[in-house]
Amino acid sequence: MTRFLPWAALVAGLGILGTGSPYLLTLAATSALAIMVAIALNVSMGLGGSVNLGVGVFYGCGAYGAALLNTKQGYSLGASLVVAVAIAVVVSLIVGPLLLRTRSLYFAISTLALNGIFVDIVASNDDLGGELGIPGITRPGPLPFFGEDGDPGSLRTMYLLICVALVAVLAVFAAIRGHRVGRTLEAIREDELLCQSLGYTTLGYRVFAFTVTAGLAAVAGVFYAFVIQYVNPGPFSFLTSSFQAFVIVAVGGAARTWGPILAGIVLVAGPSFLEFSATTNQYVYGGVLLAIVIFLPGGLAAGVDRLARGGAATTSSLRRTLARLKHTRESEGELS
Amino acid sequence: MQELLNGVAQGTVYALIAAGLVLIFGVVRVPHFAHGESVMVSGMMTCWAVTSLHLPVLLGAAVGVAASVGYGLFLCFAVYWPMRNHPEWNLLASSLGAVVITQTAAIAIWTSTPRVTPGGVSGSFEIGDAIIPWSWAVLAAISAAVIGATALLVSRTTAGVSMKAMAADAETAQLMGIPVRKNWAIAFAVGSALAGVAGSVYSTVFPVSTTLGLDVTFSALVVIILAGIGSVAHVLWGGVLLGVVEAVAGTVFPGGYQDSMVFLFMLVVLVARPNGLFGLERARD
Amino acid sequence: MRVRSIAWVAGAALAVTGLAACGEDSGSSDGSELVIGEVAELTGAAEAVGGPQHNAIKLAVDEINAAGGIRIGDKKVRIKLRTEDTKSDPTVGVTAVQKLLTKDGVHYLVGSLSGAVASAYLPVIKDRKDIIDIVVGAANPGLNENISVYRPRADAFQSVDAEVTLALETAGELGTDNIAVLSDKKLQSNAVAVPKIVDAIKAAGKTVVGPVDFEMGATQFSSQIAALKRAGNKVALFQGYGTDLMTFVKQARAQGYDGTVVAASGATADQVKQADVSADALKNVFDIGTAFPADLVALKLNAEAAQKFADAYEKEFGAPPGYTSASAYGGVHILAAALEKAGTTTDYAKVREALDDLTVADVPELAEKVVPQEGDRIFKDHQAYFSLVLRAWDGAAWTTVKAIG
Repeated sequence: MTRFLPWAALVAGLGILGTGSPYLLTLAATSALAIMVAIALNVSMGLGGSVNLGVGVFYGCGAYGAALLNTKQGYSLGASLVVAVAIAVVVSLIVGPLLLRTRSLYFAISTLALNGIFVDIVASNDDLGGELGIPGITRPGPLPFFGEDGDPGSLRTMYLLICVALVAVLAVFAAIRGHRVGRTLEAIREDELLCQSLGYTTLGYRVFAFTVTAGLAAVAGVFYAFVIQYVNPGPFSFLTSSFQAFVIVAVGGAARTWGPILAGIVLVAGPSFLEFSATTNQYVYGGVLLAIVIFLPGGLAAGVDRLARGGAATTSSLRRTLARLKHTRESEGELS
Repeated sequence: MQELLNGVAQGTVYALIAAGLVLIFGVVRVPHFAHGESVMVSGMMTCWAVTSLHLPVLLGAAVGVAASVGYGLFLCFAVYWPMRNHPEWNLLASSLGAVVITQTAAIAIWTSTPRVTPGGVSGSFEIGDAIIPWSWAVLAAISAAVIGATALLVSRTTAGVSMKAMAADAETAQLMGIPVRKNWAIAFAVGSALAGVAGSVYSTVFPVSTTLGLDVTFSALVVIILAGIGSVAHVLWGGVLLGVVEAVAGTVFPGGYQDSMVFLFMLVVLVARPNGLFGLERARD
Repeated sequence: MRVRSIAWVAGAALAVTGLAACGEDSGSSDGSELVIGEVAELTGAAEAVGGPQHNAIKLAVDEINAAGGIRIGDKKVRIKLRTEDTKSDPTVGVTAVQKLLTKDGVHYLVGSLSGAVASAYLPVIKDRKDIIDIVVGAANPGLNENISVYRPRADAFQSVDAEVTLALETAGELGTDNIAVLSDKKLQSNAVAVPKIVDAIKAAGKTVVGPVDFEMGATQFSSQIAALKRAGNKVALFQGYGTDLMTFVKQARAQGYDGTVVAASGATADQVKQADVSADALKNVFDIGTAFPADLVALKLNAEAAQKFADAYEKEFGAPPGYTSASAYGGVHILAAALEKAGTTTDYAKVREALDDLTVADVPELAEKVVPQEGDRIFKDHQAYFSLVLRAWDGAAWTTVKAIG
């Protein structure tokens, strides 16, 4: 029963925010999008252990796909969501197996390169808007219960839809994490060779994680296009999106379901309430980031855990199991 | 012809920066994303020493390199060393945090106007129909010489060999009694010194600005990928290759897709050889 | 398990309540104070120009307040400036504008430098009849076509004719048929201005080299320079910022390109000095743009106001005004003059009418030379037009060669 409490708290929190001003709605919506991208990344980075620095590509696929479909073909939000996410998944299925031949640093840098190529393509191609971007994306009309003029500009409607998407994306993550697939991914992260020797096609699992990341990030991208109503290359560059998603996952606690939510509140939404100068805000951001990764190695989620348990350190049963397994396999001479 | 020579000159600088990064990577095991900031700090300090303190260029360069080494050692002991047992993405995130703070401080001090250190070598010479400024030749020569010296240092000295051992297998190296803390200090000092030399010399030829750090780090990472992690000497070829690819891409696709072409080339290399062109060892997980 | 969950819920509830509480305190105004919101690029890619733009806005507001405020009817209303940094990021920009509108209860906006940020927040304000946005930086054409947006700043098209004319003249004198166009592909305004330039050159029967793209902040222009040299080019148009012009010119001269360069960059003396470019290299480099205060003083156009602004700016911030500073300073004074003329701060239709009818003589503080439109008005279709000047480097400063238009 208690495991549903955080979910109830999340829904309640989003609900309270939903009664807020257009500013709060916009801030909460854009922060939720950043958090969704981070949750998406958490599948391949947290569970799978591949540091993907190019999640902005798929965020961008979703946003550009939706922007083009809506402005050129008149697709609705729902139709754009299906098609744009499908595009991102197809792209990830093509590049995933190629990039995933590489490991650790090599993989991180290849995904970073992929992000560079994506931004270059959309920025240089006039059919994709070029530097000018694509304006004029039309939001869906207000949800029925708002009535005729209860929600001017559909901002509250967009906010609610984004909340639904956020909860759904988080649920997908939690489901994968709790499923056998998620546990296998975590085992691969800890010791890929061992998993191979146990008969797992590890590449398949890693491609799966990569694709789920792509698909979920594209969901966030589609909502980005409809809430901002304008897309241009900048927000999908490494510096703006991939960097941020990576930092949110690291600060929140990799592989932790609630990590990105906590880190998103602290790093994305929080700074808007600081009335410092622009420069001081940057120092605070950098300082908070450094302090958390130095003093809370497991991220904010682990910190909250420790608080709740009165200071007891968390232990990983996964690591112990793997070590035991490895020992057995080595003594059997299967691993060399 | 002109483009090729341009590429070679630019490539040797990339290689020099990448060589420093390889040394640091050997001990920390994660890309030190703030490495480009060392280059920036050195370039800015050199320029400041020459224009404000009116020091001769060589002394200015010494100031720049010293600042860069100081910066590298500070990060080593204030940030990375306390985190040595943390998961690798924590270190990666901390290096990005360091980038944010360093860049903000640098802009507050020096603004973001690009600057060139006055007093560099002037004039040019011709090879065929290509015109090469002497300053470029000096830049390439210094870079290649420093890389060579570092490669010798790593292969001939005890400290160098023990650092290589650490890079190969940190745990075993520690068990064999290799002074880990000292090696970290040496790696950051020498690695940042290379970045410092690159930054100060570069600032006499090309404009440096307070925002160039991450771009420089990316180029250095591409070089390392092309060359394969591990060897300081191979990095020189990786750097020259990157410089040439960049120059050729710039000619074939004017403007537009230049960066993409470099990235694409790197991706093709990686897909064909997942451990880099000269990579001998398997990339560690 | 239970303790843990309760901690989660407590934490989340606390965070949300905190957020909601912080976000809701709407700016109160008791009539003696008018809150004006500034959309500023203080960090991120546009920081270099955004900083001086913000300074000039602050300077104008301080001046108005020092004089007691804006005279509305028979009382004076002081301005309270709320500045929001967009980090040059469209997403942050949208949130910043919403914050100004909702939390601070702002109806008047000034600032905006990044074209991308302006395009992103446009859907929020464009149909609002109770909002007036004075854009003093972003140059992408079309912004002024929205009811709420006024732009007392040259758009990207205004210097195109002058640049092309000069390039064609020079090409005629040198007897060459090709003109190169170098373009900073990261500038939104170039996406519309460059095609226009290319068409104009082609229409004059000359061939175009390029457009050859580069990216702002590039350290290497070798491939661009090589492209010009391969084409045997003698005249090049440069569409980009002053810092990049300096890098390009320095390297081009070192690599044996000696053609004439016509730019619209707003290059400053400081940029020349920092980039260590020699006077020799800057021979045959011309910069076209809206007149800086120094140009106006030299041309004796609007000299007094221009000098006053430049002195005050330098005294306050210890540096000469930046690329968009004079427009920013003028923009605030234009808004203040319109409010005084309208005699209200709350009847927005009346304020818009006042802006439409505002004449050049109504705003004596203007530190630029506005080309009066029909009836001596400042704006035509919400857009102001400016006298352009041609500048060249004399070894110590950019000096005015002549006024254009």
